[in-house]
Amino acid sequence: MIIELDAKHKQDLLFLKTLSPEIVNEFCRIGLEFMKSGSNRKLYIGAAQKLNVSPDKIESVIDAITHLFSESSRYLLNENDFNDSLSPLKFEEELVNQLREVYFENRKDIRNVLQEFYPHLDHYSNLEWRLDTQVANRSLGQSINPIYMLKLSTKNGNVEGKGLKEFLLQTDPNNLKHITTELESALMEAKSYENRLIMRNIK
Amino acid sequence: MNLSEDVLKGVEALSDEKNISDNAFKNIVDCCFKVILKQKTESDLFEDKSAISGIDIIVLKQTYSAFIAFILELMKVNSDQATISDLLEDHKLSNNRIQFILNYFKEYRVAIRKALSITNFHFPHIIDINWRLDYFLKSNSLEKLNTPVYIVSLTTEQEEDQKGKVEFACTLDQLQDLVFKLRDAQKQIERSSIKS
Repeated sequence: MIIELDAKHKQDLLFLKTLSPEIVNEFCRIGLEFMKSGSNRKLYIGAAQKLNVSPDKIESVIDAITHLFSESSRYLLNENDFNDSLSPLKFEEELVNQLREVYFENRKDIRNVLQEFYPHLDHYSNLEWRLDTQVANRSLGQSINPIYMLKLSTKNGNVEGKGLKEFLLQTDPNNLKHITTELESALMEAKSYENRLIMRNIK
Repeated sequence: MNLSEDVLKGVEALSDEKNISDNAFKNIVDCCFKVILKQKTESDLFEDKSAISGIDIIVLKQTYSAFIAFILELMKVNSDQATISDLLEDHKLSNNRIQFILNYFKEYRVAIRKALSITNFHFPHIIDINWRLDYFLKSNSLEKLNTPVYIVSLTTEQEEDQKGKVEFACTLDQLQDLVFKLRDAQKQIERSSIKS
């Protein structure tokens, strides 16, 4: 699997040839930052002044780098594929190695970031529970009614402390048992023979 | 027991066999019990002229509301049959009528206490669960994901017939964690019941 870069991105990436390794590293860092938290125009202006080019140029180079990294991560390119994808640019080996190192170092993070972009439900994050016994209420005395209080936390995305939701729920012992057995069977399902067969065949 | 004078007076009115015929008496008692259980409504009693013929409407309303309060209070503290019998006797009801009321208490005691126990506010109560196992292959921004993803949907109930839903996804590890915690919670009640 090789990714094909379009002409615009190729042209932007060629700019890296003219830079020293440290500056290429800096570009990669900005590119990764860009993926995690969006563009930062100020950085581009600073860099443009140093390198004596227009901020727009810097921005498009960053764009090209991010595109390269995100596409490679998307297809999980291996070492050779990554090298081959860059080969039309005729980069020196050192530069390719440098880019590849950054790619491998950050691939997991990038994939985590990319995961945020597909439509998905909130994910389970935590469950806290408490067992209460209701002994009386306004309309009824002398009762014994065990109730589980549950606090279910779900999270949207991987960002710390963001997209957290809490649900306060309750249930009775019978329903709790039902829920537990259902979820246990769900777990078993993932380990079932049929399922492993499917997973093995989809590669 | 916490019965106001008005309530007791209303109950006492039921002993008045001249104004309240046996038939009307039975209708009133029957209606009161069934209103509490939501099997009948107030208007079933008030609009059925033949069932309550000859009773002054104001007296009827007083008696009705008093008797409802009477039932609720007795069931709240879960009075036994003997106590109820004594109480009715104190308020001059005839033996026949007392027996008639006691039979109703006997029959509906459990049902009424059950109705009372859910006459309360509470957090959404989980009553069912649904799950689905997906095998997540790829998305528009990511290929070769190939991980199982569970989608869990909890059905909750706030009031009767007021259903809600809580949906969330979890990975295999997250589900493992959830099941572990639920199992622990489930065991807790067994541990508590053994101790007591």
